[in-house]
Amino acid sequence: MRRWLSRYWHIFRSPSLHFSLGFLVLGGFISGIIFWGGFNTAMEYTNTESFCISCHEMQDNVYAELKYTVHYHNRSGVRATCSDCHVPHEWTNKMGRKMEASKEVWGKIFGTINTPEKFADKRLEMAEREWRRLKANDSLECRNCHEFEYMDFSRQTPVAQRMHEKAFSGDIEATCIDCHKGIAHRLPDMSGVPLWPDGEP
Amino acid sequence: MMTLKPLACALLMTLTTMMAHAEDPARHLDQPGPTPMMGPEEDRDHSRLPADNPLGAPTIPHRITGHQMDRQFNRCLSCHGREAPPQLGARPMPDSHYQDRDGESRRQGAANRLPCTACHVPQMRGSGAPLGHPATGPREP
Repeated sequence: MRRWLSRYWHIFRSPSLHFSLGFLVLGGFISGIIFWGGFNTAMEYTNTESFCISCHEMQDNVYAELKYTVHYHNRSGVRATCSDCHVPHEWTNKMGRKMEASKEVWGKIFGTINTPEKFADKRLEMAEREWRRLKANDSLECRNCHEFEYMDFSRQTPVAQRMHEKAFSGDIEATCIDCHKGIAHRLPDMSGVPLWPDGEP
Repeated sequence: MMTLKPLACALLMTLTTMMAHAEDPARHLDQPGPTPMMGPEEDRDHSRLPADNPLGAPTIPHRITGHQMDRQFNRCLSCHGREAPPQLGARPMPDSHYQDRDGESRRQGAANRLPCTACHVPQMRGSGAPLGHPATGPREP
Protein backbone atom coordinates (compact mmCIF):
# COMPACT_ATOMS: atom_id res chain seq x y z
CA MET A 1 0.00 0.00 0.00
CA ARG A 2 2.79 2.42 0.93
CA ARG A 3 4.81 1.51 -2.15
CA TRP A 4 1.73 1.94 -4.30
CA LEU A 5 1.08 5.35 -2.79
CA SER A 6 4.69 6.51 -3.11
CA ARG A 7 4.73 5.47 -6.78
CA TYR A 8 1.71 7.67 -7.51
CA TRP A 9 3.16 10.47 -5.41
CA HIS A 10 6.32 10.26 -7.54
CA ILE A 11 4.32 10.49 -10.80
CA PHE A 12 2.27 13.34 -9.36
CA ARG A 13 5.38 15.31 -8.43
CA SER A 14 7.46 14.83 -11.60
CA PRO A 15 7.13 17.30 -14.48
CA SER A 16 5.07 16.43 -17.52
CA LEU A 17 7.05 14.73 -20.33
CA HIS A 18 4.58 14.80 -23.24
CA PHE A 19 2.18 17.68 -22.69
CA SER A 20 3.12 21.33 -23.02
CA LEU A 21 2.61 23.71 -20.14
CA GLY A 22 0.09 25.67 -22.24
CA PHE A 23 -1.97 22.55 -22.91
CA LEU A 24 -2.05 21.63 -19.25
CA VAL A 25 -2.98 25.15 -18.15
CA LEU A 26 -5.67 25.63 -20.79
CA GLY A 27 -6.95 22.07 -20.41
CA GLY A 28 -7.16 22.50 -16.66
CA PHE A 29 -9.01 25.77 -17.09
CA ILE A 30 -11.55 24.39 -19.56
CA SER A 31 -12.18 21.16 -17.69
CA GLY A 32 -12.53 23.26 -14.54
CA ILE A 33 -15.31 25.27 -16.18
CA ILE A 34 -17.01 22.12 -17.42
CA PHE A 35 -16.78 20.43 -14.04
CA TRP A 36 -17.95 23.45 -12.06
CA GLY A 37 -20.71 24.34 -14.50
CA GLY A 38 -21.86 20.74 -14.65
CA PHE A 39 -21.82 20.46 -10.87
CA ASN A 40 -23.92 23.56 -10.39
CA THR A 41 -26.30 22.60 -13.21
CA ALA A 42 -26.85 19.21 -11.60
CA MET A 43 -27.33 20.94 -8.24
CA GLU A 44 -29.87 23.30 -9.76
CA TYR A 45 -31.70 20.38 -11.32
CA THR A 46 -32.21 18.84 -7.89
CA ASN A 47 -33.74 22.18 -6.86
CA THR A 48 -36.50 22.07 -9.47
CA GLU A 49 -40.06 21.26 -8.58
CA SER A 50 -40.26 18.55 -11.24
CA PHE A 51 -37.35 16.79 -9.53
CA CYS A 52 -38.97 17.03 -6.09
CA ILE A 53 -42.32 15.66 -7.22
CA SER A 54 -40.76 12.87 -9.27
CA CYS A 55 -41.22 10.95 -5.98
CA HIS A 56 -44.85 10.02 -5.45
CA GLU A 57 -44.33 10.66 -1.73
CA MET A 58 -43.92 14.34 -2.50
CA GLN A 59 -46.40 14.56 -5.36
CA ASP A 60 -49.32 12.87 -3.60
CA ASN A 61 -48.89 14.41 -0.17
CA VAL A 62 -47.17 17.72 0.31
CA TYR A 63 -47.39 18.95 -3.30
CA ALA A 64 -51.07 18.13 -3.51
CA GLU A 65 -51.65 20.19 -0.36
CA LEU A 66 -49.51 23.08 -1.53
CA LYS A 67 -51.75 23.49 -4.59
CA TYR A 68 -54.56 24.84 -2.41
CA THR A 69 -52.45 27.47 -0.67
CA VAL A 70 -51.59 31.05 -1.55
CA HIS A 71 -47.97 30.02 -2.10
CA TYR A 72 -49.04 28.01 -5.15
CA HIS A 73 -51.74 30.07 -6.79
CA ASN A 74 -52.90 33.59 -6.12
CA ARG A 75 -54.17 36.66 -7.94
CA SER A 76 -50.74 37.98 -8.96
CA GLY A 77 -49.21 34.71 -10.13
CA VAL A 78 -46.05 34.92 -8.05
CA ARG A 79 -45.39 31.57 -6.48
CA ALA A 80 -42.93 29.62 -4.41
CA THR A 81 -41.58 26.24 -5.43
CA CYS A 82 -40.35 23.55 -3.03
CA SER A 83 -36.74 24.71 -2.95
CA ASP A 84 -37.66 28.35 -2.30
CA CYS A 85 -38.68 27.38 1.23
CA HIS A 86 -36.86 24.12 1.87
CA VAL A 87 -33.36 24.77 0.48
CA PRO A 88 -31.18 27.68 1.65
CA HIS A 89 -30.20 30.02 -1.17
CA GLU A 90 -26.69 30.65 0.08
CA TRP A 91 -24.12 28.25 -1.40
CA THR A 92 -22.48 26.71 1.69
CA ASN A 93 -25.79 26.24 3.51
CA LYS A 94 -27.26 24.81 0.33
CA MET A 95 -24.50 22.21 0.15
CA GLY A 96 -25.12 21.31 3.79
CA ARG A 97 -28.81 20.84 3.11
CA LYS A 98 -28.10 18.75 0.01
CA MET A 99 -25.88 16.45 2.07
CA GLU A 100 -28.63 16.10 4.68
CA ALA A 101 -31.01 15.27 1.86
CA SER A 102 -29.06 12.08 1.13
CA LYS A 103 -31.03 10.60 4.03
CA GLU A 104 -34.19 11.31 2.05
CA VAL A 105 -32.82 9.16 -0.78
CA TRP A 106 -32.40 6.39 1.80
CA GLY A 107 -36.00 6.90 2.88
CA LYS A 108 -37.15 6.73 -0.73
CA ILE A 109 -35.28 3.46 -1.41
CA PHE A 110 -36.57 1.75 1.72
CA GLY A 111 -40.08 3.18 1.45
CA THR A 112 -40.17 4.96 4.80
CA ILE A 113 -43.23 7.01 3.87
CA ASN A 114 -44.48 5.23 0.77
CA THR A 115 -48.09 4.88 1.93
CA PRO A 116 -50.48 7.60 3.14
CA GLU A 117 -50.64 5.87 6.55
CA LYS A 118 -46.87 5.80 6.96
CA PHE A 119 -46.72 9.41 5.85
CA ALA A 120 -49.35 10.47 8.37
CA ASP A 121 -47.50 8.65 11.15
CA LYS A 122 -44.22 10.33 10.35
CA ARG A 123 -45.59 13.73 9.44
CA LEU A 124 -45.19 15.35 12.86
CA GLU A 125 -41.59 14.16 13.14
CA MET A 126 -40.72 15.51 9.68
CA ALA A 127 -42.59 18.76 10.27
CA GLU A 128 -40.86 19.30 13.60
CA ARG A 129 -37.49 18.86 11.95
CA GLU A 130 -38.40 21.56 9.42
CA TRP A 131 -39.77 23.91 12.12
CA ARG A 132 -36.53 23.45 14.08
CA ARG A 133 -34.48 24.26 11.02
CA LEU A 134 -36.45 27.44 10.28
CA LYS A 135 -36.38 28.46 13.93
CA ALA A 136 -32.58 28.03 14.01
CA ASN A 137 -31.95 30.16 10.91
CA ASP A 138 -34.52 32.83 11.91
CA SER A 139 -36.90 31.82 9.10
CA LEU A 140 -34.31 32.72 6.49
CA GLU A 141 -36.23 31.16 3.61
CA CYS A 142 -39.38 33.13 4.48
CA ARG A 143 -37.35 36.31 4.62
CA ASN A 144 -35.93 35.78 1.15
CA CYS A 145 -39.31 37.13 -0.03
CA HIS A 146 -41.08 38.56 3.04
CA GLU A 147 -39.46 41.52 4.77
CA PHE A 148 -40.81 43.49 7.72
CA GLU A 149 -39.42 46.71 6.19
CA TYR A 150 -41.81 46.49 3.25
CA MET A 151 -44.90 45.19 5.04
CA ASP A 152 -47.85 47.56 5.08
CA PHE A 153 -49.06 46.83 8.59
CA SER A 154 -52.17 48.95 7.98
CA ARG A 155 -53.38 46.39 5.44
CA GLN A 156 -53.12 43.55 7.93
CA THR A 157 -55.71 42.36 10.39
CA PRO A 158 -55.56 44.02 13.83
CA VAL A 159 -54.04 40.91 15.43
CA ALA A 160 -51.43 40.56 12.69
CA GLN A 161 -50.60 44.27 13.00
CA ARG A 162 -50.01 43.98 16.73
CA MET A 163 -47.94 40.81 16.49
CA HIS A 164 -45.81 41.99 13.57
CA GLU A 165 -45.12 45.34 15.22
CA LYS A 166 -44.01 43.59 18.40
CA ALA A 167 -41.80 41.15 16.52
CA PHE A 168 -40.35 43.92 14.33
CA SER A 169 -39.51 46.17 17.28
CA GLY A 170 -38.04 43.27 19.22
CA ASP A 171 -40.62 43.31 22.02
CA ILE A 172 -41.09 39.58 21.57
CA GLU A 173 -38.47 37.06 20.54
CA ALA A 174 -40.22 35.45 17.61
CA THR A 175 -39.53 34.31 14.11
CA CYS A 176 -41.99 33.69 11.27
CA ILE A 177 -42.38 29.96 11.83
CA ASP A 178 -43.38 30.45 15.49
CA CYS A 179 -46.85 31.55 14.37
CA HIS A 180 -47.01 30.58 10.69
CA LYS A 181 -46.90 26.81 10.91
CA GLY A 182 -48.94 24.97 8.31
CA ILE A 183 -49.20 27.80 5.78
CA ALA A 184 -48.10 25.66 2.84
CA HIS A 185 -48.99 22.13 3.97
CA ARG A 186 -51.58 20.62 6.25
CA LEU A 187 -50.83 20.17 9.92
CA PRO A 188 -50.85 16.92 11.89
CA ASP A 189 -52.37 16.59 15.38
CA MET A 190 -50.78 19.61 17.08
CA SER A 191 -51.50 18.79 20.71
CA GLY A 192 -48.37 19.58 22.67
CA VAL A 193 -46.89 21.76 19.92
CA PRO A 194 -46.78 25.47 20.78
CA LEU A 195 -48.80 27.50 18.26
CA TRP A 196 -47.61 30.89 19.49
CA PRO A 197 -44.18 32.19 20.49
CA ASP A 198 -43.10 32.08 24.13
CA GLY A 199 -44.14 35.03 26.27
CA GLU A 200 -46.87 37.51 25.63
CA PRO A 201 -48.01 37.43 22.02
CA MET B 1 -9.35 85.14 16.37
CA MET B 2 -8.79 84.42 12.68
CA THR B 3 -9.40 80.70 13.17
CA LEU B 4 -12.80 81.27 14.73
CA LYS B 5 -14.14 83.23 11.78
CA PRO B 6 -14.85 80.31 9.35
CA LEU B 7 -16.29 78.34 12.21
CA ALA B 8 -18.73 81.13 13.07
CA CYS B 9 -19.59 81.45 9.38
CA ALA B 10 -20.36 77.75 9.09
CA LEU B 11 -22.51 77.91 12.24
CA LEU B 12 -24.45 80.86 10.91
CA MET B 13 -25.05 79.16 7.57
CA THR B 14 -26.26 75.99 9.24
CA LEU B 15 -28.64 77.96 11.43
CA THR B 16 -30.09 79.93 8.54
CA THR B 17 -30.57 76.75 6.48
CA MET B 18 -32.34 75.07 9.37
CA MET B 19 -34.60 78.09 9.92
CA ALA B 20 -35.37 78.36 6.21
CA HIS B 21 -36.34 74.70 6.15
CA ALA B 22 -38.46 74.96 9.26
CA GLU B 23 -40.41 77.85 7.81
CA ASP B 24 -41.01 76.38 4.37
CA PRO B 25 -44.50 74.82 4.43
CA ALA B 26 -44.23 73.47 0.88
CA ARG B 27 -41.36 71.24 1.95
CA HIS B 28 -43.81 68.86 3.63
CA LEU B 29 -45.56 68.24 0.33
CA ASP B 30 -42.50 66.30 -0.81
CA GLN B 31 -42.74 63.96 2.16
CA PRO B 32 -45.04 60.97 2.11
CA GLY B 33 -47.91 61.46 4.52
CA PRO B 34 -49.08 58.91 7.04
CA THR B 35 -50.38 55.75 5.40
CA PRO B 36 -54.18 55.70 5.48
CA MET B 37 -55.71 52.80 7.34
CA MET B 38 -57.43 50.22 5.19
CA GLY B 39 -60.74 49.36 6.77
CA PRO B 40 -61.27 45.93 8.23
CA GLU B 41 -62.98 43.70 5.77
CA GLU B 42 -65.81 42.76 8.05
CA ASP B 43 -69.17 44.11 6.97
CA ARG B 44 -70.20 45.98 10.12
CA ASP B 45 -73.46 47.18 8.61
CA HIS B 46 -74.91 43.90 9.77
CA SER B 47 -74.71 42.81 13.37
CA ARG B 48 -72.53 39.81 14.06
CA LEU B 49 -75.17 38.52 16.42
CA PRO B 50 -78.29 38.46 14.27
CA ALA B 51 -81.00 40.11 16.37
CA ASP B 52 -83.71 38.99 13.98
CA ASN B 53 -82.65 35.37 14.28
CA PRO B 54 -82.17 34.16 17.86
CA LEU B 55 -80.76 30.85 16.63
CA GLY B 56 -78.30 32.47 14.25
CA ALA B 57 -74.66 31.83 14.94
CA PRO B 58 -72.39 34.90 15.06
CA THR B 59 -70.62 35.58 11.78
CA ILE B 60 -66.86 35.36 11.34
CA PRO B 61 -65.33 38.85 11.11
CA HIS B 62 -62.25 37.86 9.10
CA ARG B 63 -61.03 35.85 6.13
CA ILE B 64 -60.82 32.10 6.66
CA THR B 65 -59.57 31.16 3.21
CA GLY B 66 -57.36 28.11 3.40
CA HIS B 67 -57.87 27.56 7.11
CA GLN B 68 -57.38 23.92 8.00
CA MET B 69 -60.35 22.34 9.75
CA ASP B 70 -60.12 18.58 9.99
CA ARG B 71 -59.66 15.70 12.40
CA GLN B 72 -55.98 16.49 12.87
CA PHE B 73 -56.07 20.24 13.29
CA ASN B 74 -58.61 23.04 13.56
CA ARG B 75 -57.11 26.43 12.85
CA CYS B 76 -60.09 28.26 14.38
CA LEU B 77 -59.18 26.87 17.79
CA SER B 78 -55.60 28.14 17.65
CA CYS B 79 -57.13 31.57 18.42
CA HIS B 80 -60.63 30.73 19.71
CA GLY B 81 -59.67 27.69 21.79
CA ARG B 82 -59.18 27.62 25.55
CA GLU B 83 -55.42 27.35 25.26
CA ALA B 84 -55.09 30.40 23.00
CA PRO B 85 -53.43 33.48 24.50
CA PRO B 86 -56.18 35.86 25.71
CA GLN B 87 -54.19 38.87 24.41
CA LEU B 88 -55.20 37.90 20.88
CA GLY B 89 -58.63 39.30 21.64
CA ALA B 90 -60.44 36.47 19.91
CA ARG B 91 -63.84 35.59 21.32
CA PRO B 92 -63.33 32.23 23.06
CA MET B 93 -65.47 29.28 22.09
CA PRO B 94 -68.23 28.92 24.72
CA ASP B 95 -68.33 26.01 27.15
CA SER B 96 -71.34 24.51 25.39
CA HIS B 97 -69.13 23.78 22.38
CA TYR B 98 -66.82 21.63 24.50
CA GLN B 99 -69.62 19.35 25.69
CA ASP B 100 -70.31 16.27 23.65
CA ARG B 101 -73.78 14.73 23.32
CA ASP B 102 -73.40 12.97 26.69
CA GLY B 103 -72.57 16.23 28.49
CA GLU B 104 -68.92 15.26 28.91
CA SER B 105 -66.43 18.13 28.52
CA ARG B 106 -63.86 17.48 25.81
CA ARG B 107 -60.52 19.26 25.94
CA GLN B 108 -60.31 19.69 22.15
CA GLY B 109 -63.98 20.61 21.79
CA ALA B 110 -66.92 18.33 21.08
CA ALA B 111 -66.60 16.24 17.94
CA ASN B 112 -70.01 17.32 16.65
CA ARG B 113 -68.89 20.96 16.87
CA LEU B 114 -65.75 20.40 14.83
CA PRO B 115 -66.89 21.88 11.51
CA CYS B 116 -67.19 25.50 12.67
CA THR B 117 -68.30 26.66 9.23
CA ALA B 118 -71.38 24.49 9.38
CA CYS B 119 -72.94 27.31 11.44
CA HIS B 120 -70.48 30.24 11.42
CA VAL B 121 -69.79 31.99 8.14
CA PRO B 122 -67.72 35.05 7.27
CA GLN B 123 -69.73 38.18 6.52
CA MET B 124 -67.39 40.21 4.38
CA ARG B 125 -67.94 43.54 2.74
CA GLY B 126 -68.97 43.18 -0.85
CA SER B 127 -70.20 39.63 -0.48
CA GLY B 128 -73.73 40.66 -1.43
CA ALA B 129 -76.81 40.02 0.65
CA PRO B 130 -76.24 39.06 4.29
CA LEU B 131 -75.85 35.34 4.69
CA GLY B 132 -78.38 33.48 6.75
CA HIS B 133 -78.03 30.74 9.25
CA PRO B 134 -77.69 27.46 7.35
CA ALA B 135 -80.20 25.71 9.58
CA THR B 136 -82.92 28.38 9.43
CA GLY B 137 -82.49 29.73 5.94
CA PRO B 138 -81.73 33.23 4.68
CA ARG B 139 -82.59 36.17 6.82
CA GLU B 140 -85.27 38.68 5.80
CA PRO B 141 -83.74 41.73 4.11
